[in-house]
Amino acid sequence: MKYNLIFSAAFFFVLTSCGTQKTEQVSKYFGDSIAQINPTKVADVKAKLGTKDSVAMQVEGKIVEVCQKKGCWMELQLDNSETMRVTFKDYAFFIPKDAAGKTVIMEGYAYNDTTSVQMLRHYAEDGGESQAAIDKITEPEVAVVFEASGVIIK
Amino acid sequence: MIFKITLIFFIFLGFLACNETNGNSEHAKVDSCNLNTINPNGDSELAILMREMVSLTDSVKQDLLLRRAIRPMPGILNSLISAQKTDSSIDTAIYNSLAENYLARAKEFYSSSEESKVENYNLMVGACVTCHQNFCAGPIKRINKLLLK
Repeated sequence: MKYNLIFSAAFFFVLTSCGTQKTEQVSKYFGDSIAQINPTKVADVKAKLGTKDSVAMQVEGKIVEVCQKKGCWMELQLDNSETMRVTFKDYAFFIPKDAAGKTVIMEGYAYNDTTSVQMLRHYAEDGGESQAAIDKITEPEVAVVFEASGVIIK
Repeated sequence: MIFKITLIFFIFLGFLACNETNGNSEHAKVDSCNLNTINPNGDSELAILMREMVSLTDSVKQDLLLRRAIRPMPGILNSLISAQKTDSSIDTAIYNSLAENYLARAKEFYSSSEESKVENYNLMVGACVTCHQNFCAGPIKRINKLLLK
């Protein structure tokens, strides 16, 4: 009986030693490192930007769409009706194409920008939109955009 | 005696598993902090070539700014047409003609006289922009930074 208990304890020790790491989630870093994490909620970006041309900030939000060609841009839910497009500084890094739905913390610049019809069509194509939907894009878009120098995907 | 040996074996196995777990943890940490990751989705031959071209063109720009001698045209540029593309749908006659246009501009730049080097350099970079306006507009902002004002 005593031996059985000791054996059982030893088995338990071995099994738990093997099993702990596998369920742990690891954040993925892309681009430049972010030294101190202190992000603004994505819903507050517009208010923080105000009338300024651009503002350097860290932002935390949820990814709703990722470029399906290369992972070279993503969109974050800004509020109920609007999303914010995020590109990566100098086209120097990309993110996984399956990152939609994940939480992201990023560092960079938010600014108001006019996106040309050509770029909007490019984004729509990358997003897997139909040709009919792409052809419907005929007006440039003025919106808050973000250029990230570093990204952490949780 | 057999009991003791078996027990020691289990404890050893437990420590081994622990060490392996810690090792994996460290590995995961290193992976997650690997800031050199450019594209976690994998790269096509053309995407790799494009990055090399940006790096090469950047160093040519520095050479021109510092009035250093320009090295000969790199051979890798010749694979611009044959390199496997990220999106195979761009493998068209239009792409080939724009790539040939770039190669012609590059040859002109690398063989040009000192006086016309900067002008021909900008024409070569402009050929990159023209192609990207047709196929993948994403890197245009980056390419424009290569221009010499």
